[in-house]
Amino acid sequence: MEMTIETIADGITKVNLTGRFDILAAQQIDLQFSVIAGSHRKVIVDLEQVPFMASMGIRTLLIGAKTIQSKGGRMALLKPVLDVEKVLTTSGTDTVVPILHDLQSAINTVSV
Amino acid sequence: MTFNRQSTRCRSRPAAPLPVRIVDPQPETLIVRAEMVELARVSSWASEVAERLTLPRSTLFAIDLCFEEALSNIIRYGFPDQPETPGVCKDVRLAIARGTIAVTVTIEDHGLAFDPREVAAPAPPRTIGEATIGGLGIHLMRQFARDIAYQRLDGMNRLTLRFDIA
Repeated sequence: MEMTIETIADGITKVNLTGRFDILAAQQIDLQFSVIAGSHRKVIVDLEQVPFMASMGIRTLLIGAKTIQSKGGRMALLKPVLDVEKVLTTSGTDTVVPILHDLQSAINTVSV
Repeated sequence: MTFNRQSTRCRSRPAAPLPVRIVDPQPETLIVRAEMVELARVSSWASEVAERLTLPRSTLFAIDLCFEEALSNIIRYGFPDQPETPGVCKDVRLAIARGTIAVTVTIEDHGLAFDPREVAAPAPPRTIGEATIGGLGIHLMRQFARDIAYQRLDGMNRLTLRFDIA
């Protein structure tokens, strides 16, 4: 899985993930993702190009979200595909990290 | 393509199958080793099989997810303290068979006895601080598979999952 980072309006960081978010991908990006979570307060994770996610992917996202939120920041998940969204809602992840389906809503969510 | 690498260390499978009615004959099967590097191969194989069986995308997703969760549990917890002990069979046999309204998937390994149905579901997190990962893989399997059956037979775990053809 690939990860790219861009800064969009107003100090908001968008993390773009591409590819399957399986256990191997989670191991691969864990460190980088936690570095980003440790150093940014408003993070949007764009999941539009992620066709698959399992429990280890959720783990990476939740650990990042905990780090960000423990410092008063906010994280949001953007445009998960249907099956991935089902994984996120089944696991209850969406109750602690909001899911949005358009960029502006995600920006609004992390800007509060 | 069925790729059989059955290790001679593995004992032959017991004769009595779980009484699940499989309408179509000849499940597609694959044997892999219980190693992380095999996960990508399992996923590609599942995808090819799904195409041959014309399974809907969401059914393939559910199967893919359950393979990932079940296999990663087998790899991480099935063989403690004996990574390469001779005589320990690390082959995992996977099978997919399509019926009329459901797909039946079986996963057979020779690791420690482990019945995933005994794992309690994690409580849904109300706050980020409460969110934990323990038990999540099995919880996902329960939600994505229509049913889960488990047997322990002569040193082998057999997990049988059924998925709706959405």
